[in-house]
Amino acid sequence: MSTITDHAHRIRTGAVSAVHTVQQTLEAFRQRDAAYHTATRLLDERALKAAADVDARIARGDPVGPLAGVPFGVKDLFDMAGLVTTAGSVVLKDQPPARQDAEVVRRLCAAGAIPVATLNMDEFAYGFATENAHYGTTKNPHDTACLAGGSSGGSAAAVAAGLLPLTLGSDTNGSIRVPASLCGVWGLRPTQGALPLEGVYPFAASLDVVGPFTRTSADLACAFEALSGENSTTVQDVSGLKIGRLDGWFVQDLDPELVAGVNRLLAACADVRSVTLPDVARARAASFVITAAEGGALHSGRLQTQPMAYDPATRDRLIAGALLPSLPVIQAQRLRAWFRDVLHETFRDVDILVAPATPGVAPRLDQPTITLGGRQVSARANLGLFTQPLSLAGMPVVAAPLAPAPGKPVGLPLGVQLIAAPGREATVLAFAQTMEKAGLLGFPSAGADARQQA
Amino acid sequence: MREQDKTLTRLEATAESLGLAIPDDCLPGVLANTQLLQGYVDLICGMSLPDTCLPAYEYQP
Repeated sequence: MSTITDHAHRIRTGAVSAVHTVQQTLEAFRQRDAAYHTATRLLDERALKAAADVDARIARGDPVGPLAGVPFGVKDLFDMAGLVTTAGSVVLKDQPPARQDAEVVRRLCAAGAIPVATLNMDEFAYGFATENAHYGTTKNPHDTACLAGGSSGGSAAAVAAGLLPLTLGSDTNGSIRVPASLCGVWGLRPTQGALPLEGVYPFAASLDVVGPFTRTSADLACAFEALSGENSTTVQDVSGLKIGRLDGWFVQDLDPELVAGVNRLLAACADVRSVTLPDVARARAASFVITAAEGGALHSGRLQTQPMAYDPATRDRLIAGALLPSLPVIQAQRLRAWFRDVLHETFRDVDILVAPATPGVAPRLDQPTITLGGRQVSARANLGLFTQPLSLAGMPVVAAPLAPAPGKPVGLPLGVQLIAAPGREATVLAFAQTMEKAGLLGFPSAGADARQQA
Repeated sequence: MREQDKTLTRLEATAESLGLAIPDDCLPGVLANTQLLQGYVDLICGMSLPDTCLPAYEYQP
């Protein structure tokens, strides 16, 4: 699977047609996706029509946009004109089809990209596993016996499998960063409010953010530029950046390979210091409570009329959230304001914070647990240990795959979070690209491996 | 009365006050999630914040 830039260049220069690219992409899904279960719907008719339009515009010499003919997929909670937005549930199946695309989908299409598939997710985005009672479990392309992570698991796995170069997901508590980390791809949770949520089915509205997944950091910058309209692809000099390594909460129960990978990454940075954030456990708790309360309130009406239509794991969490009293919910939002101020103050002294994305590699499907404090706990509920507190603050976070350890067999992917001050996506993306070029970040595509071995 | 029974009684009273019903089949799962959330509620409410720290409903960086 080539990069976004390669795709668009080859199509613009006539080396390959957009129609051929889309046909190949759809065929790849039909041949290979049974192993991973990333897609819920293929959009043949729409995609081929859009591709023919791109080819016709190129033939006429009309402008086609920076993402000309690049196929992409969307998590099943983005409105796609003419389709029912399921949000990974059967509860919404009788809703009318969307009348128009979600705004971020419109922006990618305006840049020339072509939507080809909707992608699997945890029901209503409530989980870190993409184990969906209605639409099945998405498997990790690097080891199909393992979780892909969630809730945007289909989006991450489709990129990891080499089926798509670009997908969209959403992140409330870590739903971009967790699956990106477990699948070894790049993901971006932009600054809270940087990208529009119009046409995106909500989960916990005050925490929800949407963002892209890609195979390379340069592609991530390219995608964010198309989504935001802000220049993110001009790589700045990052040699003078002050890097903070988050310790305390963020060093518990870590896989030794993850620690080694972070050490290698930070050894390449000139100015590194340790940073301890206060009350991270409370920040995570606030994220939990806000999510439960806002999600529960959103679904409270339908939970009365059709509770048994929900995935039981989602339903029981939503009901519990709907019954939370107001005091802790408001206190959680006050704590959120306080924690944001803490982060704003921290970014007076550092430019980028580095923290693990998950404690270790993808858990097995038949043992979906992780070890925390010596206890085995549910992966579905706890994989966001390191992502949830940072969601609360609303800063931009790049989920970056660590490069495999030199001289060792390539194991499962491990990922880190690169966090910047609000609105500093360009800085953190430049840092990511520099470190990927240095061979410290970036993980091989599972699909490419499979094809090379075949 | 056991802690779990107290939680259940409180849950049912809250549900009734909001005009919500908890289906019997959901009670064990709702109870388990409520107990999990209570741990987080205790953490949040155990923190003292100044009166001027307002809820963060909006974020305009």
